[in-house]
Amino acid sequence: MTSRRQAERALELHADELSVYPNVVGLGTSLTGREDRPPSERDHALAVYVTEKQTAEQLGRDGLLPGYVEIPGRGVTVKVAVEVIEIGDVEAEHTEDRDTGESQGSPFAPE
Amino acid sequence: MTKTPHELEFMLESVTAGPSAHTEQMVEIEHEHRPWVCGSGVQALGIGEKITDGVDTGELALRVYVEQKRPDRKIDRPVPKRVEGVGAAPVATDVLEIGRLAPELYTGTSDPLAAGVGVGNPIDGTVGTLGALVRHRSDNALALLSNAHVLARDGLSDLGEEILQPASPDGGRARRDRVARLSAVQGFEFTDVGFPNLVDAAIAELVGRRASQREIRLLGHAPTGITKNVRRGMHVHKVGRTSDLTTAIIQDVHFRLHFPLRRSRNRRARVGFRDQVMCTRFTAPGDSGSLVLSSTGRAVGLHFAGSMTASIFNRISHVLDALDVDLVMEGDA
Repeated sequence: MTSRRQAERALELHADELSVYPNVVGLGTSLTGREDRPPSERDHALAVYVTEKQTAEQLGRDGLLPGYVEIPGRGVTVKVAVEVIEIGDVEAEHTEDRDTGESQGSPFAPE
Repeated sequence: MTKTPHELEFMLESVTAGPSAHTEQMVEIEHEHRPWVCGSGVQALGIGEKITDGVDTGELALRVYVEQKRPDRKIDRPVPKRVEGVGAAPVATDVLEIGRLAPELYTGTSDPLAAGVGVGNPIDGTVGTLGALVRHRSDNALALLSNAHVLARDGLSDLGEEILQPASPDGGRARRDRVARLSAVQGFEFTDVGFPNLVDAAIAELVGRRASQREIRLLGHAPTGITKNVRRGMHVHKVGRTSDLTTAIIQDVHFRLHFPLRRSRNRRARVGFRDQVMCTRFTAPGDSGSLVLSSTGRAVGLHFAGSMTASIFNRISHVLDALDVDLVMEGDA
């Protein structure tokens, strides 16, 4: 089981290197596994938020995010899973339009 | 066979469920119905008695609200007469014409001035939301709190620039609608890598004759306090200029993100933020600057960014400390 602290540590250590992969817009932590399970029974992971999930072929070998990252433990190396989550483009949410109805739900316009 | 309201509610949730649908059953139904639910004319769905030739048949149906009824042959993905759910008997559909739905933006004049309405800097003609009234810790001066990208042109403004309510895109005009002057901005640190920024925030000191009220529009009360206790799964709400009062569920409390903001008049550059909070999407363009509150009315954050599926806010304690202000709260003199 990966604990919340281990996921936080992984974020601290690996956020910068993961943030430069293609399409990455954010990083954080997440809970993996079945949603109907209590949080205490689920694994924590390092979440990598992307604009759009792409195939390995589209990304190429250098663009493919790792399936896990490693953090130092007590005498051992601990593997923390990387979960890729698609959220679209992220932008500030102001607007310059009086009517923003058209932009709601569309790939992002400033709010 | 007549369906029960509960069965129809399940069907309704099934056909409208997003990517985080609750059960595998719902995912299957949603996948099957997505083509017509996402059709160009469908505006909304609901549950109600089926009406045929103006007569209420008494049979509960899945109501499909469209902008305008058209013959099936003119529609790419017509609404089926009945929809089937996994393990459930078919349910009749009832197509009703309701015209075009549009967001009801708050674009009017707020007098007295209240949080939750549109404000903006007329120099770049943007509009966001007045998040809250605050008082400066040093001199107790009253000011408006919103984002730097709303009040201060992404931090490029000079102090003293005027702030309008309503903002210029909503019909606001210089002088007549001036309510404040920019008084403090937390500047951005632009970096190619890393996440050095904590907030997107600015304040504008109140000027002019318009009175202000501490109560947030639509809520009828001011924040009841602030809390740093933000956790995954927590419900939050906000009142914004564009989408009014909406709620969300927190998804990630360690969120780091980066996106471009203006570094100079003609150049945008990467700004990385750390220690942010991401929740399900409950905002729209124009809601930037909204105060995010817990279910008990305590302030937890200041909304500033979003994507198709997520809304993101700064932690309120970082915002208040960066600008050296306190929120005007319920019970304050």
